[in-house]
Amino acid sequence: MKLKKMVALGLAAVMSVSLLAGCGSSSDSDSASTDGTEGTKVETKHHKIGVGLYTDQGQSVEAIHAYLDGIQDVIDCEFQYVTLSTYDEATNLSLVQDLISSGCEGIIMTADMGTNSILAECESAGVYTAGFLCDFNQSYATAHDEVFGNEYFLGTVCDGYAVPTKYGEMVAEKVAEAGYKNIGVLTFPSWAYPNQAEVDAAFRAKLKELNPEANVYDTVELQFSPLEETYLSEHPEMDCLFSVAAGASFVYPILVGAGKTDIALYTTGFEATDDIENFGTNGNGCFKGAMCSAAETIVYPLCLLIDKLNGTQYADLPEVSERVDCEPYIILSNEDMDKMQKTLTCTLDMADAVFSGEDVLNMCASYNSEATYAGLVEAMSKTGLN
Amino acid sequence: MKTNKAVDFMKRFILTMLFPLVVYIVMYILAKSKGVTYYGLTVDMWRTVLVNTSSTAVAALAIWLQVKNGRFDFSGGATMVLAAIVAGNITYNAELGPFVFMILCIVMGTALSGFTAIIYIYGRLPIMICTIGVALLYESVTYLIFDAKGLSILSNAKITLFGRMPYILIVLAIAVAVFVVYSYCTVAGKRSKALANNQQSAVNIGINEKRNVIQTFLICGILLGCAACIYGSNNQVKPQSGLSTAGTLFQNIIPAYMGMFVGAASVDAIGVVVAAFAMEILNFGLSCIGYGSGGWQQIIVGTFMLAFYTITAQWPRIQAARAKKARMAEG
Amino acid sequence: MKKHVSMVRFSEHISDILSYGGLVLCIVVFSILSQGRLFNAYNIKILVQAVCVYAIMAMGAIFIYSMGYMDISVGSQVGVYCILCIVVTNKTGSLLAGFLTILALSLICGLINGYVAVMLGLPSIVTSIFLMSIFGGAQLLIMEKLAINSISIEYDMTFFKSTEFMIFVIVVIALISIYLYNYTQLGEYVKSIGANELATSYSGVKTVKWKVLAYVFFGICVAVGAFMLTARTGSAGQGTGTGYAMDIMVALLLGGMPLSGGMKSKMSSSLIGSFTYVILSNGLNLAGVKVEYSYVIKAVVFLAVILVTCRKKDGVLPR
Repeated sequence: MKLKKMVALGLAAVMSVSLLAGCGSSSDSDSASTDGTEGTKVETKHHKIGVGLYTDQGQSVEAIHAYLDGIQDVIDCEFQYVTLSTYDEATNLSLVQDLISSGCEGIIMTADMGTNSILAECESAGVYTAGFLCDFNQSYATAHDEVFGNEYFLGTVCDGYAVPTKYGEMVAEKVAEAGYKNIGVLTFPSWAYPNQAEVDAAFRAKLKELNPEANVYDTVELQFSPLEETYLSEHPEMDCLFSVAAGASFVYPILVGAGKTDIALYTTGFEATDDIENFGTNGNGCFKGAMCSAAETIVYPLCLLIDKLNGTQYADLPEVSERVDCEPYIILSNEDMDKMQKTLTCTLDMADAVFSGEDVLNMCASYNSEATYAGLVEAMSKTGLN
Repeated sequence: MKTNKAVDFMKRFILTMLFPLVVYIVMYILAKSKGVTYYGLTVDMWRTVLVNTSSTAVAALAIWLQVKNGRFDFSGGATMVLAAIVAGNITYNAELGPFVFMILCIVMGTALSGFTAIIYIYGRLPIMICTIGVALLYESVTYLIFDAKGLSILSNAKITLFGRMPYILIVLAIAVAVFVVYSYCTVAGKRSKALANNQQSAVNIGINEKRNVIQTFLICGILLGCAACIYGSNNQVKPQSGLSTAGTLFQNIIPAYMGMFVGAASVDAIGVVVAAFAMEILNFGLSCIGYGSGGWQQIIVGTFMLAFYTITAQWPRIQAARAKKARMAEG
Repeated sequence: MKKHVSMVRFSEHISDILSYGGLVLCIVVFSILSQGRLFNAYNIKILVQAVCVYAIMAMGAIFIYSMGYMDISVGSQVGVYCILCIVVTNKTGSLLAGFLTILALSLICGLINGYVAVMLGLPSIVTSIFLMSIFGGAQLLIMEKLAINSISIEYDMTFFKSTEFMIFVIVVIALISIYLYNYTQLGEYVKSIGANELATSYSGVKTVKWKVLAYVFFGICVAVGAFMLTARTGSAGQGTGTGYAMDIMVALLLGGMPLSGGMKSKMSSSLIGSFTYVILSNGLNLAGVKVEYSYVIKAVVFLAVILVTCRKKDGVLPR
């Protein structure tokens, strides 16, 4: 029995040590980020805000952590993170419940999965939610009144443009300019991501206008799995590939495996690994285009939540919650990539952030009586490369 | 005598190769009837098939080594992923070559596998439970090392040499050689067979089970290291959680089980490789005719597997395989 | 002599006590780390909600795992059931029709898993992989056909998603499974099949019949679990149910269930395991542990619990 007792004690010790380790490191980052607290002092109210990210890894997650760590002391908020599921509604509901239970007054979500049930839960608990990096398209199309009309859903800022045709056209311009002749287009299934079909259509229309000779193959839908190599056998003369579906993970490895990195790859998403090293004239030069949104766009849901929790609101706040655009990082040239590498998303350095903590306070109606909703929306158009 | 041996060999060879041949012919007819021109003898097709065969077969051999010894190792996938991440990042950061990468993979695979064996032996836990726990542990480590960035070296043509044709066949050859030599030519391999057949009586006749388990796990670690080398060379490896690594490895489980039947006329290791080869021919064919992924692919592969089992299970001549299968059901 | 008997009895109960130990330990540690939040009314409510589906399915799964079998098709089965339940309910306007549809399907799956596997002489894992592929594929195809990412139920589920109803269902299923497991031949025979299938069949037990019955009961539990899952979120999609097979297995292990089955299997593992599993992630979130550390802690806790509950004393290495 002694042994068992010891095991039990040891277990308790291990657990508390590892938990303390977790706490320790987070307080380290707190102290590191206090440098920014200068300038005009405003009376701030402390809030605890839950952040549900759609993944637990990758550059965008690192960037969001870096940014929120950088501003949390100034805006007097503490953040708690969970990893939402992009496919399981029940998991998300449980995670949101955990956040509510741990005392979060507001929740920022990056996935639209089980949103109806989540909002019902938040409503009964009196907790507000808002979205970012997500267009909540599913809810927007099928449950607009229940979600966007819900008092507890404050709105969302999309990952880029809500109507993304502009992006498709920009890529088409570049493709026409470079004179590619045989072009493939990949998307995720349109039943899951109808927006990608719009990008595809806009791309085709624009390309047809600019370069009527270019041959664009029929779109292939990736079933949430990597591109099949037979696609490359089917189109041996292809010289350009536009992957509206996450190309860095689902397409690029296949191109490398087939020794076809001479195909120019334009893709959404940005992972800051192969796509930097092999962009434009660097490395094997396979990547010609990439796109992602700035971590700083989290300011949109953050300001809305802070104001709501402080009981103030913008004079011009619309009745029904909105989904707004942000200006994404659209990287289509070496110069773009150079600029990209100086953003917080790449450097993870607060000094490179678009909005400082003070800027965020200035955007909140509760801390700056002159702040407007229009101003907040406008700020979202300043998050691009230019 | 000699001619008999040659005839015997030919018979075995043909019997073994029959399975992929049948699959190839069926898929060939299907593909041609759909108007696909590049199925058949194109270089692209065979390069793809052989690369995929190697990576599937090496992983399947690692699974099979444990399964045939009566153990179901859930931690194999995590071992593979962690070994690839550690070895790949070290190689990349130190700007070393593909040989170093492969050797580091094997060293890491062996070390991790050995650690699993130690937990198994000294924890005295049931194997599946133990390996699930270890898999969770290894997976969690992937978040803590190298800034949770995983491994992304596939653009590096130098390091990933062993992930491509024809060098990938060297890795496959190493894996098959290690498997065959260990299983059929060493005392330890024979002992592990005895242990698999009847654990208690094998221990009673004086086999040191603990030592044997460690030996088997170390050999399995070499195989997993080979698998890690191929996997890391061809994939972006991301940090993993929630036993997803078990899925990464077990997507190769079908050839492992099939190998037992396919190899009935020769050696099981060859059977695994041939089964993997047949499955990859099937997969390539399916993707040619537009069922390479998504719902229908899952249904077709599942039905194919069930049909394969149903036929082989009814094969009265393969009595030995039947006995093995019954044991599988128990295990 | 008396002392010896009591010692034996005590050691018989050690594994029982220890499987509670994992749960108790989780509760104690996390109630401290979460500054008591673990026990507030809201948290207890959400714990019950989160446990509900796991517990129901785990109780059914006990019958399968007792035989030393495993079923990895649960996840994709659940996914299809949730979607079908919603589709049928929306089409017919009758929730009962929806539930009966998935119940019928789950019974067929039970038959395939039990009877067909035996008839064709296949290992149970093979039929299980087969069903997983079929259902996984079907799930994708249905969603493709529906041309939507996530489908919502149009029936008012307020009653069915209330915590009271969830507790009611858990209790009912628990009573039925405890009765079946401890007081009927079914429970006795699944355990003895797990201990030694050959010996069981030699002793005149029709193993096929009991296997099928066990799978059928599991099927019912999966159908009920899928129904509760649908009630809870009111929607389902192409990924609903992913991971449930593994989650249930891990939960059972945390509850002290030997995966090899046999006489040491017990019904309490399912409830204790489900609660431990849910409290573990709930507690980590309440304590505000960073995501990357939470994986390590989960792994260490899991290893610690199994080292305490599953460790075999002597003899050959356990398989």
